[in-house]
Amino acid sequence: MIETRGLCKSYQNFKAVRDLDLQAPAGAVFGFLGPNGAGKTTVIRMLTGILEPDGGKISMFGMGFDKNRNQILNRIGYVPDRPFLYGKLTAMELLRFLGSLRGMTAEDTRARGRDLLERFNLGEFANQLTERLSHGMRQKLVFAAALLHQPDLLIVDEPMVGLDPRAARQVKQLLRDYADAGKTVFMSTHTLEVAEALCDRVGIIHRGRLIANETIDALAKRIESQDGDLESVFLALTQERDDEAVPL
Amino acid sequence: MIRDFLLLNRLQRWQFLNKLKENFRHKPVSFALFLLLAGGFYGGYLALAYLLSSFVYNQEAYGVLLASKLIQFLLHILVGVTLMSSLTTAMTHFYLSKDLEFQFSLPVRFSSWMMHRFWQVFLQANWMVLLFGGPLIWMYLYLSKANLAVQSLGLLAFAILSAYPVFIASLLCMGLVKVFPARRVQQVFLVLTITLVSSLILVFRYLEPEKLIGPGGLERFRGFADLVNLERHEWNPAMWAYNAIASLSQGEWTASIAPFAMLLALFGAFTAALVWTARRLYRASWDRALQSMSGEAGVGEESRRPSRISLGLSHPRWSQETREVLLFMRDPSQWSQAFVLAALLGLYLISATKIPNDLFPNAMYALSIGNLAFVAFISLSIASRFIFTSFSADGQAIWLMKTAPDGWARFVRGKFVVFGAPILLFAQVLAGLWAVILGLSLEQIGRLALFCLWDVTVMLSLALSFGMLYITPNIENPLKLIVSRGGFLLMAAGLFITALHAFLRLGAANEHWNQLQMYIGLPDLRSGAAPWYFAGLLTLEAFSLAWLIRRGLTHLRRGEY
Repeated sequence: MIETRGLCKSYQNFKAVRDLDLQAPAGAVFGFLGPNGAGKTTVIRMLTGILEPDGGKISMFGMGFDKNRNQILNRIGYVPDRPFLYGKLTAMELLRFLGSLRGMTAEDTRARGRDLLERFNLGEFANQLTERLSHGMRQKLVFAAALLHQPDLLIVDEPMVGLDPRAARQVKQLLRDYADAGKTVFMSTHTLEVAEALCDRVGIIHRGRLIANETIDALAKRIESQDGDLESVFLALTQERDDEAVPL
Repeated sequence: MIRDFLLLNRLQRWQFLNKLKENFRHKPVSFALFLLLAGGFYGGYLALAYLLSSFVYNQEAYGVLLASKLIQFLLHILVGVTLMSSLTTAMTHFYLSKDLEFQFSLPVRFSSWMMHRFWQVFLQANWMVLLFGGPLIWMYLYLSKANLAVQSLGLLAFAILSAYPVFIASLLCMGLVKVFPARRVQQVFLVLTITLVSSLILVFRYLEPEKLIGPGGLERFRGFADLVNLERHEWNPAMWAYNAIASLSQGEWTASIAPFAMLLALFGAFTAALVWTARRLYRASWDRALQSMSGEAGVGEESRRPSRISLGLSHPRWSQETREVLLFMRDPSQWSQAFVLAALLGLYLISATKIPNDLFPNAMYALSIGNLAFVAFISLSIASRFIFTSFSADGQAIWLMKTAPDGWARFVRGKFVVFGAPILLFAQVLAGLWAVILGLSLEQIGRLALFCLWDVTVMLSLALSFGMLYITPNIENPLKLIVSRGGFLLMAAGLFITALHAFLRLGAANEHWNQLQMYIGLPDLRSGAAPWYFAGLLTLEAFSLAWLIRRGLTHLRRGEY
């Protein structure tokens, strides 16, 4: 589903991502973990076309990203960590605009948009300017926008930020259902409980390098051997790497 | 209290210096070039201002009187202009700035914080006035042979006067935000400011400044000044500042005491009013301000009825354009500037009717070419305001475009169509009406229309490419970009091309200009080879702009901003 080979990205002199080889299989929830500044968001931005890699290759659905950018983007839904939207458009207008960018008909967009807004308890705010919505409401609206065109792959950066407990639970259920329906979820998170509860496979990135990529079962074995939970394994792995001198 | 004030200022200074260092470190060549250009521009302004000041001051019989009248006008205009800029700046600094909550959490005295904020508004709203108006006051005192102490006191009076509008704006903001949400107040101020600027442009036109130059011009100005008779307004602080400066320039120290005392007393009264209002009203206004900042929607909040235009958002071909139009119409800071455009159009056409038609042979066509340069400059200004800033105005919502299929191409096209096409039309109307009023032939009008298309396309392409290259999505107010490095470089490039086009076309149209240009080494533009020279220039510009736009697109695609 998602495959990267030798992916690199630098900002000025800082190497944010180094030779990243990653595989995330179809029909699963893939958890992308890492400490602050590890490079998670940079990788996600490269996967969604926001950033251009300095080197390496990305392929999705068996197609190279560079040559099939539009086809790939048409099959992806993306939820960023911060819900920046066009403040002077209403929630419904935003959905209609995004639907048209993805080639949906006006009727389809309206029907599906209304349904999604109701699912996220935003029905009564459909005609409110998005600048008038709270952070959590905007986050839910971004989820609705990402699901509008029924993508095969949902890429989510820190999905629980800004959500109230009810909405967080709803989103967890949604992500699980999505993967169970044969689609793929690629999710970055700091919340290890969420990863433990939701993910079928976990990748851990540290200082721009992938240091683990295992199924949750394999990780569970490692957890048993270390007599701990995902948190201990995560801390142990990232601590080991901190001790190694990584040349810039 | 002073320690806290200095501490807060240091915080601001560090941020400013870090920004300078970062700019210098990342792009040393373009930053140095920018500094050089800015220095050259300011130096040129000072030299020109000094030439004009000494010309007026040294006029026989009433030179000193005229210079005094000019200083009176300058001080009055200063109060008007700074009041307008202070209103919008105070609104941002006291209510809408992102760092407010952080600064409130700092262990500093409230009064120090308030004074620091006031100082910031003063600098931000007045820096241009101080930079460009201050030297004029100094030149007036210098020409009247005042010593250094007198010059300093004169500048102090000028600085005190320029603080008054900031006081008024700060007090108004605090009062009004208690009643209305901060964003609504800001929008009202913005529309008000722009309407006032447009009115000012038309009033300036009423003065018919072109008649002030040439024979009898100075007499005419004196007549105008007598008619306005600012001396009557004794209650006016601008007149107090003028009286203080004028008395000092004549060496009449005692006569300057009263106006100076009045200036200082009003300054003190304003300071007391500000402190009192801040303690009583400012904190109470915070609920309103926060409400409009966080954008918390109430369930009872009125919903917006879907407009007819918004139907276009679902159109597969025109959704980007519809989005741009909707965002433009719903933002008063954008559409209200149409007032300025209308005022400029009025000014332009009134000016055309005043031109005598017997200046020199073929004068009307030559004047029309000169005015094409003016049209190009106006187009450049509008494009820098609307196209150059529009990429950054999309803000951090730009990820929506980047993650959409075909998002980029349609995004850039949308900007060009929504802003570029009206600018092109506006320019053609201006140039065309001017040519018709001057009675040019159809063939000449056709040629001018083609030149106009060429000029405006260059300006639009420049604004588009610089907008992409200097995109700053996280900027609080995209209008600030106009006075940033990218904005200055855009204006410099646009003005250079405008001047080049005007000179070459005048050379081709007028034998004397052609001779002059040949004298400085340019080719003969009235020979048969002239079309080839112009075709070469057009090709060179087309390739350069294509290269710039390509670089802009690459920069957008790479996403490192």
